[in-house]
Amino acid sequence: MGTKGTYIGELEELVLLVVGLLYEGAYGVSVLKEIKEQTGREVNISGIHSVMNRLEDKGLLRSEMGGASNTRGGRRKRIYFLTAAGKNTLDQVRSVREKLYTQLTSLPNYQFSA
Amino acid sequence: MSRPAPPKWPDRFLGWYCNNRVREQVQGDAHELFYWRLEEKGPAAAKRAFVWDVIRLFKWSNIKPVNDERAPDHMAMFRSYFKIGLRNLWKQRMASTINVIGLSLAIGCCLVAFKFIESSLMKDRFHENGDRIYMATHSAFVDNQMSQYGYLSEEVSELMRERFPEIKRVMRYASQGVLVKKGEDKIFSHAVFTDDGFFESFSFPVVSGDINALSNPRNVVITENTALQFFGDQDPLGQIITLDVNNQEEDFIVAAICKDSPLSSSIRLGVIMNHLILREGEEPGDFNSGVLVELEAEVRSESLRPKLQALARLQRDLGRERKYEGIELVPLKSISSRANEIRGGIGTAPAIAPIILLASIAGFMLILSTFNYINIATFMGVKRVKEIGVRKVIGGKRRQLVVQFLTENLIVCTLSVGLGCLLAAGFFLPQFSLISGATFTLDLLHDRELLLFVLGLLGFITLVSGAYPAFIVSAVKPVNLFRGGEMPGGKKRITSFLLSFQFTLATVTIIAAIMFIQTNYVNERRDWGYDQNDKFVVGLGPQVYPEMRDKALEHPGVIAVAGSRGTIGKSYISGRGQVGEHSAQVEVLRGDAGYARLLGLKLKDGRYFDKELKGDVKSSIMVNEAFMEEFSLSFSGDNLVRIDSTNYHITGVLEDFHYHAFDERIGPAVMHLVPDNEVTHMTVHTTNGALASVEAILRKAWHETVGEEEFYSYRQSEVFDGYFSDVRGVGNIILFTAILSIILSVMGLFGLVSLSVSSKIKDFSIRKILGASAIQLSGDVYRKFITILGFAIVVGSTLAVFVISMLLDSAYGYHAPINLLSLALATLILLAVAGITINTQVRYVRRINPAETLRSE
Repeated sequence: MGTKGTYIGELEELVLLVVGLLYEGAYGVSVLKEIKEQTGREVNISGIHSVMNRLEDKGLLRSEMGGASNTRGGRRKRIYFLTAAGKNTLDQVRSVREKLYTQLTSLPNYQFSA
Repeated sequence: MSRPAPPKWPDRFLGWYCNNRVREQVQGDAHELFYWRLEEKGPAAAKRAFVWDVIRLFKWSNIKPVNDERAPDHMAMFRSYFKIGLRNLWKQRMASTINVIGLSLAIGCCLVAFKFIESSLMKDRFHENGDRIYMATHSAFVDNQMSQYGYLSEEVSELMRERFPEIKRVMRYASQGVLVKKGEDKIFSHAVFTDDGFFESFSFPVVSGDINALSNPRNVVITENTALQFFGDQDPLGQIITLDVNNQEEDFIVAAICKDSPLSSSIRLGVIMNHLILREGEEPGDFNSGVLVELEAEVRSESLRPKLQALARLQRDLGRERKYEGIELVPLKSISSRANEIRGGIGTAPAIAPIILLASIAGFMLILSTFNYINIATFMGVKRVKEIGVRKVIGGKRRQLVVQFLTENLIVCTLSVGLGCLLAAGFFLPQFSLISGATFTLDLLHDRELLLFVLGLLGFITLVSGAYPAFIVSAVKPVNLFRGGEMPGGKKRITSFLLSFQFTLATVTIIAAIMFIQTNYVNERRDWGYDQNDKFVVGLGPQVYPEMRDKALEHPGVIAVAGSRGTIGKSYISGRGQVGEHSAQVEVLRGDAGYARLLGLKLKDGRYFDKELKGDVKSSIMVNEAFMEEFSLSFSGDNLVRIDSTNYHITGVLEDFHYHAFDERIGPAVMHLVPDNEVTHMTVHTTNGALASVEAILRKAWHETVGEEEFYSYRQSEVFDGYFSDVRGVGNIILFTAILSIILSVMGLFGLVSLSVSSKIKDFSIRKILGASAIQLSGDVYRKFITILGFAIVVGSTLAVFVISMLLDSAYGYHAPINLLSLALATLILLAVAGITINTQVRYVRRINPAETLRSE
């Protein structure tokens, strides 16, 4: 895996996190619901699918077909899992962000503009 | 619980556009979201959101086909369909055999019809430069009527050659018979007179010799067949050939050999000569001939129109008797189809009646065999509902089942097409060639149209015969099926309908065959109105009649000799008869004084011609009864008649006789006297049995008198032979059709009866155990089909009375009306054949041992 995987977008990061959170129950709709509950953001299902596909292409997620349910008309879900690379990326993003953030807060005399 | 479901159409759309890989997951997500929103926001909002989702999900990543997985899958699927198909066909041997035999017979008929119709409608398509070749025609007023004529005068074609740089080649064209001298005899051959360049414009390949042979008027080109006829094994190139053109004998050199013209060519080749030969000594202004032109490449014929008009104007200024109103170029491809409107052109119009006859026969056969197939395949499919149910339960889609059924169809149809081609090539076409007198061959590899037709036919019968059963059977609902309930419905009525239709068709064709055969039989024994036996006719040259007559009369076996111009039954000319104000077409026969008496034409009124009376030659005429009727005359001994522009007295009225074969009714006919020096035919009446010996003696006398010219004679009793063999051919075709249609309908019936019996075998067994008698059981089998048969016979007979009468009217001048006998005979034949067919199955039902049939599952 090249360096490319380390750069991920904001929604991608969110989805990665949520997939990790939901562990074995992460598929399109559950991710969508979780994001809505945790952040209040309404993302459409098509967007979720594309993000998850992209992440899978980057090797940060992997997927397999899982169980069916009645509300799905007997259709199976595609369950997504966080890969080690995905976890790494999340760690990386977090450390970069925290590094930057601590530098931000260590500027005591900075005037935050309105 | 009526929970709202996702909106149907968007959902279908979603299912349709998603590729296989994502369909399940995406559609599942969409549904799950819908039910979630249903609880949170209510049905209206949920539905709206669902539609939005469907629209948002409509993106390339979801749509793009996933080829890498699909391609091999498909191959495997079709291989499996194919294998299952073959196994099923083998399992249902009886039904498959019926289908294949029926379809291949029908396909054989279709191929014959196609070849024939193609050859008569698609004429002159084979010339490479065909698009650039045109026939020049002119239009002119003749008798106050504007018509189009298929020829130009020599001076106009000469002007065309000079003034039209757009025209690459102007070829004059004429055709007529010539006599070719071979040893002692002169043999008729077909000759084409044209200009140099003919073989470059037209695709009649020159096999050997000089392609420009015609540039020398002393050269001729002959076709391969003509070469074979006159030179046999010798190399014809460079040989001298003696031709008699319009009574002038001349020697020519064979300078090239070309292929024979195909059947689809309007131009018939035999001997091809330079056009100059034909018009030696004629004035160019008066001399007309057909004109074929080849345009330069890239020149469109429309662009020549103004120049052609100018040419017509130029002709009008020449002051000839005929004034050209216009000159038009007719494409080579349409000279045959337009032959009826263009007078004196090249090419003849296709005969429509045989085309219709053959097309309808082929259509009948196709309908019959396809119906068989539909019926049997539906039945077979219905027997397989369990298999289909299981496949559906484990996830088989309806489309897959349809494809599976169509694959099986395709196997059967391909088999049938193959067999049909063999049948047509090996049996139908050779037989048909015998009847029609033209040679048809089946060459699938090189005949593109034929290949397309065969493939089209294959596709057509596969879809038509397979679609109905495939869709019916694949529509079963597994739930209903396994619960033991309803079977696919509706099929009963369709089956009965198709079967009735088949038997109706069969009835019509049987009646047609009976009527045609009966009519032919009656006509061959019909009284000709004179005694045609013990007479033979000798064709004569000019001025030899008296000498030949005297020689014939020397023989003791000769009773009488008479002369004529043309013979009764072979030829007559048409004229315009007029009595008072009334005028009508009359046929004119010409014989000497003894002719009518010699033939045994019976006198009704008046007297025969008398050769001693001078007036008889100039102004006497004998007429037939039909003539008296047409002009409402009663014989007075002094009736005045005008034929064309001459006035005649009627000296005698003859009873009606057949001067023409039986395809036309006897019309008004007259006979007038010809003097000895105009006689062209001599009829000899011999004593019974002496005919052959007299003929031999006359042949010798002929050569003594005239020399080497061919002796030409025929018997009076043979003059209708050509006609009889034609109508016998038509009769045979119709008989053949009837037999085929009986075979096909009976095969269909057999298939249905045996299938319906075998599907009810337990039913029968149980009733047998409970004490049903053999008669009750067989009654059950019969009952189903007897109504259908009865219906078909009634409808078929009614239909036949109308349709067949029309057919007979168009084919015969004389025929018996459709009588009860023929209807009864047809009914009998059908009932007998159907009875025998059903009976085979009834016997089976009677013999079953319930213990065995019920034990096995």
